[in-house]
Amino acid sequence: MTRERPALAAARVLAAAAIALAWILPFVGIVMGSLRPYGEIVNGWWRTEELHLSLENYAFVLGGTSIPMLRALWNSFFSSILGAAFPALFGSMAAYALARHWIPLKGPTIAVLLSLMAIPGQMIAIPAFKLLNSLGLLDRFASVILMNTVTALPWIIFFMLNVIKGQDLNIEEAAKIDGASDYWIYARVVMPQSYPSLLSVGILQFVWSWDSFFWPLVCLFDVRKLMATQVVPMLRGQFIQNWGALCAASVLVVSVPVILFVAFQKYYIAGSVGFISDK
Amino acid sequence: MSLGAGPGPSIGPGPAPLPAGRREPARAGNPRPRRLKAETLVFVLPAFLLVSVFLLYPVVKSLLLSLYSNEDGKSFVGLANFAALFRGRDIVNLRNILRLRPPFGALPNNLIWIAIHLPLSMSLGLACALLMIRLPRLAFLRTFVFVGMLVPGVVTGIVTLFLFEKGAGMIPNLFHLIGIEGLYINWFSHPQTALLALILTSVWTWTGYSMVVFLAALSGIPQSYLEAGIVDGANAWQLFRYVKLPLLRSSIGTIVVMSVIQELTGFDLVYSSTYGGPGGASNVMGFQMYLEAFKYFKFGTGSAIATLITLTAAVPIVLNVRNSARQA
Repeated sequence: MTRERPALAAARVLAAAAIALAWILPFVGIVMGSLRPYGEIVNGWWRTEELHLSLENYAFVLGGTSIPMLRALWNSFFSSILGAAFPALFGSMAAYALARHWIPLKGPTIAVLLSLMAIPGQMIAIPAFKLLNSLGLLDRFASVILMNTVTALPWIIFFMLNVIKGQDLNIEEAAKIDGASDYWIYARVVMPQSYPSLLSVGILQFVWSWDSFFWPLVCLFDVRKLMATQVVPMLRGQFIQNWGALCAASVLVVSVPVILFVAFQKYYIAGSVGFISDK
Repeated sequence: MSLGAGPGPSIGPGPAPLPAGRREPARAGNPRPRRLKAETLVFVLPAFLLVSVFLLYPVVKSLLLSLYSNEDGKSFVGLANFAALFRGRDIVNLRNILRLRPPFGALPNNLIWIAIHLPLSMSLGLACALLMIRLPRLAFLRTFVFVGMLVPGVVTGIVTLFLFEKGAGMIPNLFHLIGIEGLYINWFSHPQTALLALILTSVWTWTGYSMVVFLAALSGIPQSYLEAGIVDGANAWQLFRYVKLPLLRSSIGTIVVMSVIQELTGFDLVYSSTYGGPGGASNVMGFQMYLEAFKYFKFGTGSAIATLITLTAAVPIVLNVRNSARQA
C-alpha cells in the first residue's frame, strides 16, 4: 500500500487514545470514589485540592455491613466455577456425539438448540421458578448453578460442535482401530485437541455466571447465600448515595472478571466473537 | 456460529450433519452405522434432559401461562392478559405519548432504547474497529473499549448513578462547564432524562461488543481486495463504502440480532439504578415482567410480558434469516 502522511497516522493515534481515555474514565471515577472519603467526591472525584486515599470503604463493604461482601464474593466464585464447569462438560459431551455419532433427528435437534440460544431469560423465568420450587431447590446454590448451566448449554453445544467438526478425523479413527472406546476417544483424543476452545468457553461462561443477577435475585434470599451481584443493589437501598460503599462494592464485583480477562484475553475474545460469528 | 445463517446445520467447518434417514456415503474404514449406540445416549442425555426440562418445557409453559388467569392459573382467558397489558399504563401509556410527556410506558421505552442504543453502539463500534485495526501496535487500547463487556448489569447501574448525579457526576458537570445549565441536574431524578442516562451508560458497556465483531470481520478481508480497490483509484471513503461495508453485512446482521435481544431483555441495570423511576419513566419490559411475576406474583401477566418480549426479539432474527437466505 501507499505510504501515509505522518500527520494522518498521528491523528489516528490521538483519536484512538482519546476513545480509550473516554471509555476508561468512568472506571477511574469508580476507583477514585472507592478510595476517597465522601466529602472529597460529592463535588466531583476529579477535584484534587484535597486528596486522601484509604481502603476504609473496602473494609466496610467486605465485613462492616449486615450483608458482608466477603461471603458473597466467595459464593459467587464457587457457584460460577460450577456454573461454568457443568455446561462445559455436558455441552462438550453432547457436541462430540452430535459431531461424530448417528443421532435420529439430528438436524431438527440442532435447529431447536439454535433457536433456544435466542430465547430471552424472561420467557423461561416463571415455569423454571415453579419447577425449582417444587424440587425444593429455592434458596440453595444449586438453583443458580443449575439455571446458569441450562441457559449456557445451547451456545456451548453449538460452539463445541463447530470446533469438533473442524478437527481431524484420522486420529480418532486410528484410536478406534486400536480398540479405544468412545469415552476414551472423547476424553483422550477430542478434548485435548479442543483444549483452547474449551478454555474460551469456560472463561466466558464463568464471567457470565459471575455477572448474572436475575436468577440469584429470584432464587436466593438468605443473607448468607447472596451472590456478589445481589449485594450491590442492596447496598444502594441501605446507604443511598454513600458513594464510597457503592464504588468499593462495584470495584470488587468487577475486579474478578477483569482479572480473568487480562489473564486470558486471547481466549475470551475468541469466545465472544466465536459464539456469534463464523470465526 | 452465525444466527444469520438460519436454523440449518450448514455452518462452520467440517461436514454438515446429514439429515436423519439418509445414509452417509461410506468412508474408507469407517462405515457409520445408522443405529443409536448406548454410548451416544450417555453423551447427549445429561445436556438434552437439562435443556428439555429447564429450557424447552418452560418456554412452552410460559406461552400457555400467558393465556390463563392470574388468580388460579387454571381458567383459560384467551388473550385477556395481553389486552389488559395494553389497557394499563405500565406497558403503553397512550395519553402521555400523545402529549409527549414521559413516562411513556415500558414498551415505548424499550423501543426508544433500541432506536438510540443500536445505531449509536454499532456505529461507535464500527468506528473504533476501523481505527484500531490500523493501529496493531496499540492493540491494548482496544481492551479499554472492550472491558465494558465485563461489567455486570448491576454495576452498570451504579456507574450510571455515579456518572449522571449533579454533584459527583462527570456528565452534568461537563454540561455545566460548557454552559448548558438545563442538563446540570440529577439525570436519573427527572422523567425526561432518566431513560437517556441509562441508555448512554449501556452504550458505554456494549460498544466493545460490536467493535470486536467488526474487528474480526475486518481482519478477515483479504488484502488483495483492498489493493485492487486502490489500484482502481478508490479513495478511503470509496474503499469503505464499496469494498469493506458489503463484506461486513453478515456481521451487521449478527450485531443487530444480539443487540436487540440485549436491549429488550435488559433488567439488571434498571434494577440497581432507577428501579424504573421516576414514576415509571425508565421502566422497561424486562423490569415490568420481574415486578408482575416476582413482586405481585401475577404469573399470567408476567408470562404475557415475557411472550411480548420474545415476539419482539424474534422480529430482527426472522428478518436477518430471510436476508441472509436471499443473499445465499
